Amino acid sequence: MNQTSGPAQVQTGFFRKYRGLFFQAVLLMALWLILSGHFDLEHIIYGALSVLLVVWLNTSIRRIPLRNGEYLTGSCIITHRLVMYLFWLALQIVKSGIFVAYLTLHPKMPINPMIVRFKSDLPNPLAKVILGNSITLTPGTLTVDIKGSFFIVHALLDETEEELVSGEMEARVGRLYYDHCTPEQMCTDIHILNDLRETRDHIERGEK
Amino acid sequence: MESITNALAIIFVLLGSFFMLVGSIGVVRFPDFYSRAHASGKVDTLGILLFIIGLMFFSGLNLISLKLLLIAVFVAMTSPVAAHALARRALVFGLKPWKKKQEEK
Repeated sequence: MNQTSGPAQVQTGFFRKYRGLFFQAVLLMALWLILSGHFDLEHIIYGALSVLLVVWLNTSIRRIPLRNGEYLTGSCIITHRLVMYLFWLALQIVKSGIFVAYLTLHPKMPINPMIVRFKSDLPNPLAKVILGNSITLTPGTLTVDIKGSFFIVHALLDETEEELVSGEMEARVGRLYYDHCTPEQMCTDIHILNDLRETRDHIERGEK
Repeated sequence: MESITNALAIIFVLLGSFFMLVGSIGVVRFPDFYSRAHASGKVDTLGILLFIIGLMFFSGLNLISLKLLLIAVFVAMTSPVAAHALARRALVFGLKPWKKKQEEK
């Protein structure tokens, strides 16, 4: 596949090139061991064979286009940052659960829902999926749709909306791929959609 | 040692049940579909995760708790996707988002 150009996406060397396949194999093997629970040689050999089969089937996945014609291009994610990011995300899950539970149990229920649209400059579809999932997991925001590089997000409160469009989280996702990424570069073209018709137009029309 | 892990297990399971209960209350109390998706997508996720952590304490450090950890990971990955899919379909279908009443109008 031809790589998209950009910083931190240099792919040199044997290990970097086949790193994805390697991690995939390790994860699948761990899954096999956990689910089977047998650690003798016979079962491990069966497991290794099935892992090889699955990895071989998965190699073609990058050559199949997504529905909008994009490809899952193989830009290199920065692994240690991914681990840190997952810990941060777990913390966010706890925070958002407590936050929405507080809103639920509050007698007056001080919510002011709104739908906001913003544009993101993340490099590839996978990063957008990560960001969309993270938006849903963080306090008071829910990804409704991703069209092209536009995100449509439902936010429960004014403060959560402001926190979202400050671009801090998007910069975190960006730092998984780029060396440097500041919140100021991210989250442009912010627009609060007041009308249902307008929102649906955005979803159906897609990228302009 | 046994009693400590059991106590932790009970605490986490109770917390998890509490959050699941709050999630269900939220589904009833919130005014419209989208904010209900918030309640079911987030509070329930946290509840299920806490519940599973409690069960992991209960079973101790063995293969069963690893399998429970797998369940927790998959729940944490799929539950936001489910909430997103519901909300998107509702929006395309044309369900109006609830708005706070403006004072002057």
